Amino acid sequence: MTPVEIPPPDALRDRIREAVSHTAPAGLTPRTRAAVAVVFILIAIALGVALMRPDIAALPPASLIGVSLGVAFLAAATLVVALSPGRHGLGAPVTWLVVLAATTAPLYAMMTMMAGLGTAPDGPPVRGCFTMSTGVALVGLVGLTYALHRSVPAAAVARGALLGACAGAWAGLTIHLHCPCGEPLHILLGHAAPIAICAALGAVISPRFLRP
Amino acid sequence: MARDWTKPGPPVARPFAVVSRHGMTQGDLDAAMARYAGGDDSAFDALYRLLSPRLYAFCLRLTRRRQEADDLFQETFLKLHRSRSTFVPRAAAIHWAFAVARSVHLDRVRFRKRRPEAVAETEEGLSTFTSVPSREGSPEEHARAKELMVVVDRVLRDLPENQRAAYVLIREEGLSVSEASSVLGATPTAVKLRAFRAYEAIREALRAAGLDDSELEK
Repeated sequence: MTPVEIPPPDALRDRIREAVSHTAPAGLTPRTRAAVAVVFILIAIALGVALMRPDIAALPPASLIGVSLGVAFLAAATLVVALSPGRHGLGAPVTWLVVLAATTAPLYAMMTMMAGLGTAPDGPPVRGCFTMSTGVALVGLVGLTYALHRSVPAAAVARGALLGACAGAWAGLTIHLHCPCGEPLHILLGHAAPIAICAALGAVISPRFLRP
Repeated sequence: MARDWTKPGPPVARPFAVVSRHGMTQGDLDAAMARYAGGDDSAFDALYRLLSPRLYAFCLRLTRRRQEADDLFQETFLKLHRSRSTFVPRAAAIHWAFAVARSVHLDRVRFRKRRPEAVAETEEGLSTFTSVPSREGSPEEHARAKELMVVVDRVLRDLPENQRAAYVLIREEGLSVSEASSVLGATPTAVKLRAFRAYEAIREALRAAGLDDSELEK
């Protein structure tokens, strides 16, 4: 079949030529930007390791490693899908983006609560964990949004939400390694809620920076 | 048997289309875009020549007004230029350009919703494909095609933006449902449904105007 073709007016071409000559294109390639995003994530992980919980040696290694790897896998999966160019070069299918963005926080909460690694019922206050987790997640969200700056012409809201969930999941790994409290309410409010909040923020704020 | 409307059909505006006047192939366009994305400014002319006829037609369909289509087309090209380094080399350049054009168009629509006084729609400005002269067919065929185009143009104009975009991409641009869903950032099911609704609205309007809706398939 033949697609519809209508040549634009010639005057338009000269106007565009002129405008393009005065506009600087973005300098960084997506690969460089992805590297920047990875650096942000490495900082988040390093923070988690540096502030590691004091009871780490007393925890069953299999459970600790299993849950940490599970959370890391979840965070890595969100990262891969969020940065993936997809089949047509326009990003992963919107269904994947939405499903993953919506399920990251519940999956994280389920994994960390079921592991039963809490040794301090009266651990740090929820507010402390919430602040730290949200702070790390926001730094990650800024890095990831920068990585995809002006490169998401379609499904920018869903992609922004997944970037937020991804940043939140990496922050969740940090807080999981940091906080010894295993109370379900503490985990829900202090550890998992920042992931959901960050996903919502990503959906609302990131699109304007992600669109070309 | 009813036609499968999710398959790309012949373009509705076919009698008015300039068929591959530059002998454009997808490969040529993608190669030009890849060169341009790699920083080769000399690829601009080839890219413009290969991309502009389809992109401009798409902008016309989205905006429904010549003046606005010109602005959208120019802004889209600027955005393509500005974010050229983010183009994925193995991707289809035309799909990327359509996605950028639609993104720019939606931004403009949102802006206008905030400032409705900025828009004054005139009948003159609404014409799109109907004002493009035909180059093929007998006078009778041309007259019938033109009549059909007027109805299609009017229906498309009144459709919600998302249905119009889905219809144009699938039926006129020949994209698959999967490709159109990538360009529109929606699920394939949603895109199929939008295109179906648009198609049904057009068929209904053609029947109401006493035109044979099977003409749409030709």
